[in-house]
Amino acid sequence: MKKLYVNLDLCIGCQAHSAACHRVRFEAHGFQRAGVEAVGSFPTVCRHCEDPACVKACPREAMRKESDGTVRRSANLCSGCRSCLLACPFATLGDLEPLADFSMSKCNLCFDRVRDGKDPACVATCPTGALEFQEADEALAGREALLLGAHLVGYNPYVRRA
Amino acid sequence: MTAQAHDTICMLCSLGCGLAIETAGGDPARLEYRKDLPGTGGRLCAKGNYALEILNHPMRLTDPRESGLPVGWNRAVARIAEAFRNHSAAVVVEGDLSEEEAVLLDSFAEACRPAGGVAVSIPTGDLAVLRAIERLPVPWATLEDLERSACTIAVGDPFRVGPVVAGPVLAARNSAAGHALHAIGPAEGMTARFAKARLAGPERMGLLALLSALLRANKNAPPAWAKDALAKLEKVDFGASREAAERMADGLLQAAQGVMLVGTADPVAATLAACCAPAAGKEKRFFPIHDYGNARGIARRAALDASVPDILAAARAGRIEALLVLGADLAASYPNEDAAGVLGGLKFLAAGALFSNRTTALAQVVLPTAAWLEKDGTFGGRPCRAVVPPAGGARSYGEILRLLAQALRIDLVPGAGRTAVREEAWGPKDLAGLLDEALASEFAQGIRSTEIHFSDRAITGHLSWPRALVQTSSRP
Repeated sequence: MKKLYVNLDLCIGCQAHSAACHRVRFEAHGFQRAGVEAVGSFPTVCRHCEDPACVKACPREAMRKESDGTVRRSANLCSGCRSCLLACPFATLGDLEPLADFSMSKCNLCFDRVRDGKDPACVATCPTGALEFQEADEALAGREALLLGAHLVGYNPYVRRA
Repeated sequence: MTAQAHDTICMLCSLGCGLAIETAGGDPARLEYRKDLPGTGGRLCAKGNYALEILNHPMRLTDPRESGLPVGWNRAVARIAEAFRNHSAAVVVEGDLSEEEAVLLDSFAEACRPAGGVAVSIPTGDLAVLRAIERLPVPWATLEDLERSACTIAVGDPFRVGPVVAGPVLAARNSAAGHALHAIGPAEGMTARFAKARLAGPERMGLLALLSALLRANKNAPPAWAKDALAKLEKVDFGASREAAERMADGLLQAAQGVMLVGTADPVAATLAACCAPAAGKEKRFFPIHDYGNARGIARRAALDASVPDILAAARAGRIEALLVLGADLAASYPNEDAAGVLGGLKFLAAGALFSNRTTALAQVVLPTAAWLEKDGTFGGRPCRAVVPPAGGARSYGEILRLLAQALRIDLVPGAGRTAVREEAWGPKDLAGLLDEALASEFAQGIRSTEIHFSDRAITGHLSWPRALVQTSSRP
């Protein structure tokens, strides 16, 4: 399954991806500053985990792991209880305000664009090419990669040159 | 309902990134990224993502107004013509002017000459930089040049003005072991975070320190004005910046390919470009990036009379009494020149804009103007067709100039511009003059930080993207 990877060497923190997400989906999955300012910006975007904690935590089955690998939220079923927010180990879910109360926002990896052969909006717009939409093997091929949390390969999108 | 795709470019900065806009039944429906465009390859910054919102925005000005009341175009233009006939006048047009409109602006100024003349200008000090550089033996860089550059000196915060420019610069930094990115400008800027070395503090101070170092290090026969400039700069104490500037100058002069990436309107940057004249086997290029799109095309096509600060100074002195401002929000963009006070003191002010702004609030006559997506024309060297017709009763700058010429009973003859003025406009003498001004204003009165203004905020302030970013940053 293709996932979102971020090359921190190229990220300037311009938030264009956030604007693209907001424009395309009315949501804004954004960069948040890491604890250490000098390290850079880290994207708080859904990893589409293989065994998602948010799906297990949702009391209304609004979160589902789809056959294409994406984890999606059903707006009809979601009551905004925030169980998924608490369960997510990467803190990637957020309140969808002020657009709708009692609901959560979640990256769906632009599955409709991907179905049409396009990249997700955030990847297509990224001014520096820091965002990549690739298979894990492709993302790591040909570069000396240092994985932050190497045991989370496939979950963790961060790639940094050694 | 007929769906139609339009390939165009973004004019919210001078990079000209590609936009593909689909219209359905004549309404803008969808924005897509143009991967076919060389250089930018479909990339788009946060501003560009919201370019579509400009069209059909609920806050757009749609009718001409006089003293706050809606009037017809004929009445509004007649009022401006009357003021132009009775007072000494000037026209300032924003940088999203198409090249065809720039030719028209030039013809307009030429046609007005027998009747006393009208000074024309575009905003920002970029004008000074552009006019100077167009005459210098320094080739302009492309995005591909940035990617090949061995040494890049970033002035101001170009990554913030046009984030897409960061792609090739960082690609060069990450691929070439010897590549050096130096920064002159604010330490907290987006560009400075990636720089190997930087001259922090006021941009003007850093620029002058580098200029001094380049003049000393450049062994090519310096022009006469450079000797004079160096003599003045030698008297200045640059402190700790001196050594850093010398290292930076050495890097730029020794690099086989070097690019000066300028994201500021400081005219001293033009003087710096003159010092980067290509030496044997060492190619130096210049890449200015502006906060509004078509400045270079305009500078090529029109003989502009003065920079906006010059026009504001003339207005303050009473030499200009009537002003037509199209597109620009001068009152917000020139606080150092007290533009709001100067505009408020004019005998007549007319302002055309997409949205209400501080300048339109001071104007007796307000005109609704068309965005670049609503008019045919050449932008950034690329011919573009209008995506949709202008919103409401808005008209393009070119149409407004034609209407004004009709009301003034003057003939606009495209191509009959002021070539003579253009040829004589800038030269080394002017660069030396710029240096004099820089030294006089900065060192006699003490160094102060150069304020950078984004004139495009007059537009982007109305779009959704700032809200999106605020939402993001407020998340836990």
